Amino acid sequence: MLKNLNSKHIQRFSYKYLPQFPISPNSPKLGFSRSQIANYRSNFPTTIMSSSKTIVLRSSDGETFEVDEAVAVESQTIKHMIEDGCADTSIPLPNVTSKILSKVIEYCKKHVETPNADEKVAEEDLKSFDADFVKVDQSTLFDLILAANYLNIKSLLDLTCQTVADMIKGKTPEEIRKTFNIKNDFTPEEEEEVRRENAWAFE
Amino acid sequence: MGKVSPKEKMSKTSKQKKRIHASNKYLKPGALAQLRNSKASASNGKKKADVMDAENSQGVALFQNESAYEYDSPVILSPEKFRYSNVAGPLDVHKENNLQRTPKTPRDPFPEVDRSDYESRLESLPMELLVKILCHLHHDHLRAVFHVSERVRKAVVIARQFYFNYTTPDRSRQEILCTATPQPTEQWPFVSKGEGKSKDFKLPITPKAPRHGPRPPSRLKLTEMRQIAAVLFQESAFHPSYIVPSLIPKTICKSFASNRVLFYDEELELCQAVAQNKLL
Repeated sequence: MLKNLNSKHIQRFSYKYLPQFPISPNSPKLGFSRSQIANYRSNFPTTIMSSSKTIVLRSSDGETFEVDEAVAVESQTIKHMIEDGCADTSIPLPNVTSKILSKVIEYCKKHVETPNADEKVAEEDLKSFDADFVKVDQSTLFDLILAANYLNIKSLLDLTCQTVADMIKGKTPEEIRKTFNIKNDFTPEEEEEVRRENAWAFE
Repeated sequence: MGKVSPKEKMSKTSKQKKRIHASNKYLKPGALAQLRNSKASASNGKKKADVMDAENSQGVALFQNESAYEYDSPVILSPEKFRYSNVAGPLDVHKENNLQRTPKTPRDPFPEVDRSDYESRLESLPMELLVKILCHLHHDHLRAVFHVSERVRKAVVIARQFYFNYTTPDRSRQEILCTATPQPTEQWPFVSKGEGKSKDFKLPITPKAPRHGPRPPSRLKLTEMRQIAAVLFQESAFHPSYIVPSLIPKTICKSFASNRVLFYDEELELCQAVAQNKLL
């Protein structure tokens, strides 16, 4: 008796939790073929997981970008906005220009598409992508840092900060100033004093 | 920047209420200056200490109050007008004490105004991002960066305080630095120390841990051990030549050199029973 009940319950469950899907194949709205629907039903447990929801992002200069939710939630900021229910229309990003936003989306897409764990080939491919990604002019690089910080994308922030750090490594102060167009605001006496005093601090 | 506005909108009403309540608890703005003036004029020498104390205690409260105002006011409006328009009551006091205002709390430790003055994109980054970039460097790179500019120097100090002081320098790197020929263009931190190089070749000597005192002699006696320690499996599966009962207790004694072996009475009885193959 109990077993019968269970099986009935399960059957009912499968129909109940299907999204309201018109079953007739002739439905004009969705244009799915009969075979596609059959596939959908047979793949019930798996297809419900892949949501094809898209998020619209609006840059500071008014341009809109439509991305998959999976790509958008690479950014913790956007993820929290979605969770808080602010993503019904479009998400405005006033601190990011369209040029930078397109680059950021490209980065997120690549990182979402690549299944990280297993293959070495995929890992190397991702590394070379990252290396090429940061081969941009300094201004874009700093914009990317600011955008990654605002959107809270840890991997992108680490990548860009490491790139800038690599530009600083191994250079003398004068070379660093030249690379980043920094003005030397120390007087020569100040500098000399600091050099003498702080010698001990640097082993 | 984007974070300030939603907070503003939401908490305006609640903060207004708070402010009205707060104004009952603390001095009203400008009243402190009045107090100071009246007290200063009344008594010069003796009561100055008291006034100072009073000022400090009330000043703290006032600053708290003021800082609450500061964060609420939008950037465009002048702070004074916004502040006084919301407090219930003393607009007159404000007018009177216009000239005798108490000092304002600084709004921001790193005011954003300075950032627009920098030519370099690197320097115009917010301080925390600058520190983040520096944390990707190695310890020996810090010295060069220290001498670049004032703002970068601040970042180096912060990075050192919060990160480098708690991170082990890469020792293998430092060994390479000791052995490789220095380039004329590169900056070498060990230049000043000539003799120190040979010492730094190996890992730095850690301070020696204090030696333990002499251990007290083991309380376990051989005769007792024979009673407690018994051969558990006496089957012939174990080759008798491997089992030397007389020696085993001795080796066990050695491993038991520590005086931490403590037996409760019951355990002792149990062990004895097991040794004698009698279990109650």
